[in-house]
This record gives sequence, structure tokens and C-alpha cells, in this order.
Amino acid sequence: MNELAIQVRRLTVAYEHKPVLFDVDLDVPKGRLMAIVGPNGAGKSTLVKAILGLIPRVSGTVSVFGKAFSGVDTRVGYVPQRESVDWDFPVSALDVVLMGSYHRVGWFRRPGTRERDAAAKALDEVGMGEFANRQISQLSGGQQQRVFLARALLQQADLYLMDEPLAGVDAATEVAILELLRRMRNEGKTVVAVHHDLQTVADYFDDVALVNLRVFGVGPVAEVMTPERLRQTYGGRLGALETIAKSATGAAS
Amino acid sequence: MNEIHLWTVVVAATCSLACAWVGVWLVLQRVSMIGDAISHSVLPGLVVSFLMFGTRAPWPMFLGAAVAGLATTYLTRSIASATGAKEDSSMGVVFTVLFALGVLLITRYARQIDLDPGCVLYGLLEFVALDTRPILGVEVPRALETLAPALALTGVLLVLFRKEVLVMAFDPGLARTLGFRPTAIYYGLMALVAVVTVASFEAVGSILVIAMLIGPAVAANLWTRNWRTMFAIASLVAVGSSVAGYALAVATNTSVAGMMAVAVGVACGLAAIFSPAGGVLQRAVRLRASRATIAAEDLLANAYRDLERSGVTSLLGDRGLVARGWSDGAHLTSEGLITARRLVSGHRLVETFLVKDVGRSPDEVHESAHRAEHLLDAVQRAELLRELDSPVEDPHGSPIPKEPSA
Amino acid sequence: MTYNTIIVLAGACLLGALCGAVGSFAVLRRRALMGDVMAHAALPGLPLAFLLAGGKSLPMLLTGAAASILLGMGWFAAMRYRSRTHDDAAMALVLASMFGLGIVLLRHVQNVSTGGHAGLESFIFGKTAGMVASDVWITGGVALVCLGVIAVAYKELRLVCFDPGFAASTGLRVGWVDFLITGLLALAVVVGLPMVGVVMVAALTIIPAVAARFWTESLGPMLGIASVFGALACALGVLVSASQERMPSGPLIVLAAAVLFVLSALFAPQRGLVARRLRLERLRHAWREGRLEA
Repeated sequence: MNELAIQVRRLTVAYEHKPVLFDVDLDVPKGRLMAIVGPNGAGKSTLVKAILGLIPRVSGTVSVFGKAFSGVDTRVGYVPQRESVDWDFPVSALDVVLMGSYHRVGWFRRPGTRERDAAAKALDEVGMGEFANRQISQLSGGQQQRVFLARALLQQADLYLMDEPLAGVDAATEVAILELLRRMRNEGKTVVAVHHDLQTVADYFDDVALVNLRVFGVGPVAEVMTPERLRQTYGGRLGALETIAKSATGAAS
Repeated sequence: MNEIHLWTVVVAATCSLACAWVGVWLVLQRVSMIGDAISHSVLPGLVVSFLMFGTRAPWPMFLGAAVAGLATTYLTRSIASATGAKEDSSMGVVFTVLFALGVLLITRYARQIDLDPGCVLYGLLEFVALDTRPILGVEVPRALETLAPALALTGVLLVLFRKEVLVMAFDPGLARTLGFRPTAIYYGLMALVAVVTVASFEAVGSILVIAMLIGPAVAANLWTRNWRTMFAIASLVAVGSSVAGYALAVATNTSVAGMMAVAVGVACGLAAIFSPAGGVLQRAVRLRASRATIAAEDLLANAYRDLERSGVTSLLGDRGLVARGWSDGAHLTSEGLITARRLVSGHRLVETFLVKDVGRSPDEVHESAHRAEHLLDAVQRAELLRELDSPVEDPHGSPIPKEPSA
Repeated sequence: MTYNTIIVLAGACLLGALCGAVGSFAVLRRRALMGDVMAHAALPGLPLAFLLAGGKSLPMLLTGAAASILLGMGWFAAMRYRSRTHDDAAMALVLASMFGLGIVLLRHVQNVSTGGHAGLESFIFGKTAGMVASDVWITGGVALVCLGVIAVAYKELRLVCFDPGFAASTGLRVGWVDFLITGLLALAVVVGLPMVGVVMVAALTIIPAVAARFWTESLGPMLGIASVFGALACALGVLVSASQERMPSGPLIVLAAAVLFVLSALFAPQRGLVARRLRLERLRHAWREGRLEA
């Protein structure tokens, strides 16, 4: 019996000679919506990439659904940072979403009507139905992020890792994406998202992991977002921390 | 048509097609210079396999060159990742060193080796049609014995693995969570580049190989925004430049491979100018059209301001009423009036925003607002209105017209 | 050592130092392969200059090559900045098409001229041993000019190489500085072509600079080290070539540079592979002992 979607033990990752993550433990229970929060350069994206095995680690173990990542890779959906792909690539929004079905299509075959319908439906669900045939460079930042989300939907994974899905999107997109994340959670999926905005953590997420080189706390937002822990994570730099922490505790109670 | 002409063009077109197909993926992944690198660094592979097997038979040569080609991409990537050097730097180091090694070996063992570095560059396209052998009673150039299988292999593999290659090229992180192996796919593709290069260059020379790897893909990428269409256009450009290049070379009695490379370059230049998807001409036409629109909109907005001064618009008020007015003897239609109100409303909203939220002085905001008024759509105007708490007047005290209801 | 060897040695060392210094800028601006593109793009200028001048005068040929490179770079810039083509594709396209044009024109010259065109093709593979005293003077002159330009524009060059974003924000025209770098590189390639040939001159603009990058984080020392590496590689190559039968100097120079590169990549104090490996092991060790303080 394993209730954990992700279990990270004593993970250390180093670029060059500088450790970016040091001795990190992280448990993500199934069926939760978790934010990874921390200051710039704290290793949030690195944590996500290390869980996915996209970057080598110095030491430590990562297990996903109780197994090594390569055994469960197709149960995991990854939404990278928007800047990480070439938006000038000659593919349409529908093409990008269809990629989310490729692992089910099978070798040598092309996605059929069923996949195309599913992709169109996923685009509709993120409010992008009318842009299906638009080349992706002609979409706005928020629309590009929605296309990524639609692709993740089509992937039908059990665990989603998202790198800053709410960064640089307009207000309407933020709300739409958030509703989608909640719906995924309600369907029993686990969603872990790197998040940059401390103000909204309490409103948007169930759990939070405070990361800055190490993990300074994991668990339900109200329990973890204490002034002391935030000060540890952010090095006491932010004056507004206390108020944020209070509002978080208040919102949960 | 003369049989020699025909076969020469067929040979050239065969390897151009194979090059163009793999080349599309090189261009899309932005690793075009790998074609240049591989076509130079196969030289030592050829020499070594010649020294080892003592024959110029195609298959040992093929093997040696393919190994050298793969080694180039592997060394480029591993030196870059191990030392933190940029990938183009490490590529430059790897292929020039391998090429130097090849030239050195050729000079050193010149007596045993019947290989001319010059022929590696230009190939022997002029002579391929003379070296034939009968297949089913037809005299077919020997060069096709390697080229035709290479073309078939390229076509089949690229069709079978198009999903995997597409995802690897667009988003390697996704490829990983889909259970694909992006690194394996990358090296597979590079092996294919090596095979195509090796199969082609004895016939056409390495310069034409580089030109055909990149040129058709560049032209296609300029012409369309759809990767499937890119393959069709790249094929057309590859075959078209082979034929045109050959005809020109024969007419001017010059190097066939060289002329084909020139033809590909010209095709790309033409695509950059005439492309319907962002070509120079199309952009120029659009620019003129949008200038005309802006000029017309400026006229309308000024007509509206004249009406405003004469007090006609205050009669229309905020009730969204539409009436006809006169301005300098010109007649403003109801449609024109609606457009004019939109423009002036956008203009004044932007001015208000710049003064209230950005903190600029009212004297310096006119120019920015004047440019912005043509670019705002209804949604953005509505958002500005909300953001500014529905102001009634702009910083200069002029009323902000209400958006006419549809 | 014969007089001839000394001439060749001097010319080659000057060329190596020049290419090393100028190539450093290209490597830092992530245009390492530009020297390669230029070396190929120079080819059409040779037969054209031959036809126009009616003979093989070296200054005319070099002028032709320079003009041809300028044309190629203009085409590159047009593709890169006026169309949707990326850096790498525009480079490969210009390289192949210009070289193709060069071959076409060379063949044309062979067809129409009554003689005296022989040896134009030696530009492709180079003829180090055929160097004469005037070549050394030309190379030295060009090296001096380049050095002067680098000295005058040093501040701007450094800024653009290490922080182009900041450079642009200070109002510096990055495009003009890049144009300057392109011009310097073109000069080095043009004088190098007849000595070592297309691919070898490209190698000289890349390998010493990349090797020098391992040793330092600042521009001044990098220029010095790259020049020394370039000159050293050329000296080694020429000397080995002179002492051995059937060992052409061009490839030997490149291989000598490769040796310097490998040594640098392995043993440079900060960025070298050995140093990196040691640091990582120390980190792991400290982690195991639990005394890593981050």
C-alpha cells in the first residue's frame, strides 16, 4: 500500500560545483494540488526536472508511484516552462495537443480520428477550440500555456508536473488554468506546480513545498506557511511575509 | 531527351530528395551546420576503411564513413556537455580535426590510396551516367545502387518514426514523459544524416550534399507554417534545383554539382522574397495596406473631433444614438461615425491610462495614444475602461465617447 | 633551418596568432563556425579576380576573396534578419551556395583562360610550404591592423562578448560591433586562405580560441592565450612537416591545435575536466560525511 505519488529521499543536484538542491526530502501524497514555492534561483525547476530524470543527480533517490521514474514515465505528464520550446516551430495548436496522445497511438501509426477528436475536445476545454489550426507562434503567451495544458489533459497521466504554468499569463487564463488544475485534482490526479506568487498560494493550492536549496516544509498550506518557515526560505528578505502567512492560516481555518 | 542527361538528373534528384527529407529535421532542430560537419569528417572514415579493407567497394567505404559521421555528432555533443563549451564551438573543433586527419592520411598513404580530396568536394556527377550496369535490360548508373536504397531507407524511416522525431525535435522533455528516448532518436536521425551523406557524396560531392540538406528545408520553412507541407515543398525545391542546375551547367559548360548548389541558394532567396507566409514582398504590401488604414482612420477621428467642436456629438450624448453630421463639407456615414467614436475613445482611454497609471505628463501622451488607437481591439478597450474605473474625461478634459453598443 | 623554413615559420606563426585572437570574438559571440562559412564563401572571389585582373596577382586575389566574403555575409544577414531563417540554417546555406558558385566560376576560368589559372584551386587546400617573404609582410600588416582595431574598440568588444543585453541597454549598437567582429574575422580568413586552405583556416579561427576559453574568464588573457596557442600550433605543424617526408603542414597545424585543445580541456585549473571531476568528488565526499554547508 503506497499513498505517495512522489517520494524524494536525500536528493542532491549540482550544476558545476554549486549544489542547487541539497539533501532534499519530499513526499507528495496522491490526489493533492501542490505548489513548489521559493525565491528565484532556489532550485524549484531543478527539483521538477530531477524528479523527471531530465538532469543527473549527485545522490539520492526519487520514486514515482513507488517505482523508478522510467518504469512509470507514461503515467506522468510534464508541462515545461513556456520559454523552453521553440514557438517558431511549424506546428499548429492541434498538432501540439495531439503529441499528448502519441504514447497511446503505438509504433509506426499516426493518430487517428479518435485522437484528433480527443485533442479537439481538450482544446475546447481550455477555451482554445477556435485556434486549433493556428500556427503556434501566432498565439499569445496565455494561449500558448493553454495549449500546453490541453496537451497535458490528452496525456491522461496520473501525476502532472508543471513548471510555472501561471507565469506571464493574463488574468482570464490564470483563472481558467486554475479551474482545470482543480478539476484534475478532483478526478484523483496529483498535480505539482512550480509557482512564483506567494500571495495566491493559499487560495490556489492544497499543499505547498517551500524550497530554497533545501526543503523548509511540506504539507497543507495552513500548516506550512508559517512566518518562521517563510523567513527561513526567503532569508528574511520579504517584509510582507508575515501578512501572507497570516492570511494563509486564516484562509484555511 | 539524351539518356546521359536523363540519368545524371535522376542520380542528382535521388540524392537531393534524400538530403532534403532529413534536412528538414536538421533545420527545424536548428542544427543545420551538422551537415557541413559530417560531410567534412567522413573523409578519415573513408581513408581508414580503405586502408583496413584494401578496397573501394561501396559497403566497406559506407561503413567507415557512417562511423566517422556518427563519431562527429557524438563527440560534438559529449565535448559540449562534458566541458561546458558551446555546441557550435565543439562541432568546429571536432570536424576540422577529423578532416585534417583525413587529409594527412591521404597524403601519407597516397601511393596506396586512389582518393582525391577534390573529388570529395565536387563529386563525379558528370561521369555517373557513364558508369552503368544492366538491370532488367536497362543500363542503370552504378551510383543508383547505393542512392536508391538510401532514398528508400530515408523515406521509410522518416514516415515510420515521424511522431517520435517530431516530439524529440519540438519538446525533448515531453518525449521523455511519453516513454520515448529522445537521445536515441537524436542519434538515429544523425545516423541517417551520415548514411545519406555517404551515399550521396561520391556521386555529387560534399558541397551539393550540404546545399541539399539545408537549402530545400530553408525554402520550405519560409513558404509554409505546417511541417507536413514542408516536406512536399522541400521535395519540389530539391528536384527543381537539380533539374535547373543541370540545365544551366550544361548550357554554360561548367560544374554540375556547383551549379545545383547555386540553384538551391537562388530558390531560397526567391522564397524569402515571394513567400506568401511572411515574404519580403508580402510584408511590404501589408505595411502599405496598414499605412493606408491608419491614414483613413486618422481622417475619421479628426472628422469626429470637428463634429465634437461644433457640438453635434453632445446632442448624440451617451445614449448611443447615431446621427449624420457634416464636417468640412464631407459626409460622415453612420458606420464612419461608429468607427470614429471607437478610435477617439481608444485614444483618450490610452491618454488617461498613461497619465493616471504610468505617471506621464498630459503634454507628452498624445503621440503614444495616437499610435496605440489603431491597434486596440474592443476587448482591450473594455479592459482599459474597467481598469481605469470608467473615466468620463481624458486628462485634457475631453469627453471619452461611450463604446456604441452593437 | 633553411631560409625558406624560417619564412614559412614566421608567416604561419603570425597567421596563427591573428586567427587565434580574432577567432576568440567569434567563439564568444557564439558564431564559432562563421570562420568556416567565410572561408567557403571566399571562393567565388578568386576566379572573378583572376578574370578581372587577367592574372594571379596575390593582392588582387585577396581583394576578390574579401569582396566575396562581404557578399556572402550580406546574404547571410539578409536571410537571418529579413526572413524567418535561423542563424545555423542561414550559415549552412550561404556556405554551400557560395562555394558552389566558386566551383562554377573556377570551372569557367579553366574553360576560357589560355593558361596561368593553375593553382587557383590550391586556395581550397592551401600551400603553406609555398609561402614567400611578401606573404609574411602581408600577414604581419593585417595582424597589425586587426590589433589596432581591437585596441581601439576593446571596451565595446568586451561588453558585447560577455553581456550583449547590457551592452544594448547602454545604447551601444551591438549590430555595429558584430559587424566589426565579422570584418576582423574576414581579414584573418582572407590572409589565411592561400596559406592553409579553406577548412584549415576555419580550424585556426576556432580551436585555439575554444582552447583558450578553458583557462580564463576575462577577455584580455583569452586573446593572449588564444594567440599563443595559434602561433604554437602553427610552429609545431610547420616544424614537424619540414622534418618529415610527405607530411603536409596544414593538417599538422590543425592536429597540433587539437592537442592543445585536449590538454586545455583536461587540465585547465577551473573549467578543465579533471578539476571539475575533483570538485564533484569532494562534494560527494563532504556530503557522505554530512559536513556540507551550502
